[in-house]
Amino acid sequence: MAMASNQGDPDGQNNDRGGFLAIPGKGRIQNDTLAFFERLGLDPVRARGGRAYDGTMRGIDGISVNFLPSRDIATGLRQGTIHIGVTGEDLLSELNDSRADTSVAIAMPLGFSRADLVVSVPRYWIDVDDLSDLEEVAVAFRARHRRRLRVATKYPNLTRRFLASHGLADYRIVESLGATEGAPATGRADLISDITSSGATLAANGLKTLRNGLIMRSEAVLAISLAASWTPATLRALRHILDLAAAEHRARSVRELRFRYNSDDKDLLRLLADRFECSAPYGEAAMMIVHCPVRHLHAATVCLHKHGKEIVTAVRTDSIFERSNPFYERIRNLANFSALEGS
Amino acid sequence: MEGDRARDVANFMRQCAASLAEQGYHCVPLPVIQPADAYLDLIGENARPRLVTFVAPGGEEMCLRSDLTIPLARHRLAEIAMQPETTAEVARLWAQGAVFRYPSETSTAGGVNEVHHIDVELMHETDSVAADCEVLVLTCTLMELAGIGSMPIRTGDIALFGDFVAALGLSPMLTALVLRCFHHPQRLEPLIAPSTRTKTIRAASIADDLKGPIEELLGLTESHPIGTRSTEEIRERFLRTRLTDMHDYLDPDRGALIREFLALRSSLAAAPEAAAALYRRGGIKTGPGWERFARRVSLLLDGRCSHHKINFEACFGREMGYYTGFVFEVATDQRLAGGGRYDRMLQDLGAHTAVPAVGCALWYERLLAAAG
Repeated sequence: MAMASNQGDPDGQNNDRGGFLAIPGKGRIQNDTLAFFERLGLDPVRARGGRAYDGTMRGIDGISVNFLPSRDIATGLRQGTIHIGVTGEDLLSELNDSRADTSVAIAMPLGFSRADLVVSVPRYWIDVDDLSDLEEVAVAFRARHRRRLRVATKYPNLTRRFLASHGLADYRIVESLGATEGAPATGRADLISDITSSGATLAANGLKTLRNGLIMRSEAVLAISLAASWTPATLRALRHILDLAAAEHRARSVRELRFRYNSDDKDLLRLLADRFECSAPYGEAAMMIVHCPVRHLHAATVCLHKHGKEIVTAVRTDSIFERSNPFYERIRNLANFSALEGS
Repeated sequence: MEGDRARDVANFMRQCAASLAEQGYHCVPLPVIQPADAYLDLIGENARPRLVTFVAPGGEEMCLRSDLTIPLARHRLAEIAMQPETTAEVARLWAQGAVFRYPSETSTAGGVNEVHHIDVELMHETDSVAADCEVLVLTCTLMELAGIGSMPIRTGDIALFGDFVAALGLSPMLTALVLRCFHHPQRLEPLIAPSTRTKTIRAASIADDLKGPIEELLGLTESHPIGTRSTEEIRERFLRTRLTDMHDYLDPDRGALIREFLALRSSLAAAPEAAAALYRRGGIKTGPGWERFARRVSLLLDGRCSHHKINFEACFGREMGYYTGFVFEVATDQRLAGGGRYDRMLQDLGAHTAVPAVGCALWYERLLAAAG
């Protein structure tokens, strides 16, 4: 499946066009994505006054930037016309043919554009709280109304798989292209499954979420296409981005603690490692530096004080570059990139 | 090699055609392309993953037929619409040809599976037992033409479970819930009462008292109710399911009896008595469903199929979408033939009255291969 060669480009025409990075072209997800790249010190700029669909990424060679709808980014990644893309995990999962689908790999979650895909029914259905209620209602509905319950959704695959896993089959999916929450009110469907972040839109449309109706939690992800043809140059660009991202991610997750250290403190170091998951990146020194996970920060400093360390400084770093990049390692094997490296 | 196989198939088809014609069956040509709704409405969304669908130029969703039974039923429906005077006439129909499915539920990769079926359907025959037997005998005849001497045949009877549950004399709601346990066995346990007391409801009188407050509750949620379920539907179900000390349960004895019934397995010959014994244990009387079952068993044992090893499993038919009564299957590690009674299908497809129907599909390539 994943070929580190000119798959899809037998004449080698596309070599000099470089790889394609796709960013969502509008909405909050665009702003959040641009902010993410800026945090990495990269600068994505939309051409022609910010109205064009193409652009550049200052700081990275070998890749051109496209601004596209999130849904198109998901299909582009699957088809291999886009190498790297930011899009919603829900859109990727929806297009996923099967659990063994290997056309797209998620390089890293981005932590923004979080939303839940949920099954929602009219609030008026006070007798329906969960999926087993819905299942009974579906069976009775068919007998009474001589047709099946209709579920409106933009995510037919995810919805179908979810409902099937809960034993529901007595319904029909009605594909919705927009304003899914309005479908029950207009009579186009009887219930829906849709993305929600606060639940406010659902409530405003007279709908409520089923207690066990969570289909999936979604967020924006940085994904790469295993179906695209990768060249050494495109791979270098990917590695560049992932190195910056991993370094920033690691820096954000730890604080650098500094305190005075002498040879009696070996046990203390072990204690910090075992109890607070601290690492000592530069080994032992009189001015000791450990990296401590943010969640353990306070507890670790209390411990250090108890062991006689008067002053402990905690420093926030910008980026911590580790030789082995965990994000890159994950997809390296999936995409069989080792053949392209080192050139 | 190829030529021999093709000749075998051709010979077999000729013999089948002759035999079926002799029995009064008419061959019907059927379109490969069918409306996807026909399958999805009858079977539900579970049919979709393996159904080969596409969108026609006019926007209607179509599919490649994944069986011949539903196209035959649609054909009969169209016949009735064109010639209503033939509505109640017994129809003996058969068809043969390719049917198409995706090989896997989880992926469309790997292309489309094409297999060839012979399908026989007997409709409008009001003597359902005679019709059930005719179809099974016909299936055995066609199997013999393929060179299969004797085969184990699995049978079941979905209507027998219905008869048993009806005889238990439960409330209509509890009856409906128990019947669904045939297809969803895990639903039986929650229906059994936690204590040894049987709780019954006097729902009618209590419901009247609660009518007002519930209307208010519904009114609070929405000034204009949205959706297609009526206030009455919602109120009725709310009462039944939410006011749990009014919920009637199965007492543990009857729960155990139902569990035992669904676990019944025996040779066909022993089945009627085995079932009757459970009725007696429950202190209930066998009904028309059991009578039909018993009559069918004795007809089958006296008839042309009697040399096959036929068994009975009370829970067989669980996974078969639209069957309503007698079901059967001939299988090794693959299905070679399978069918049963499906009395609701034509009405579900749009017929004005219920049309009794029973039929069978044969995977004849597999039959010929099995015969060697």
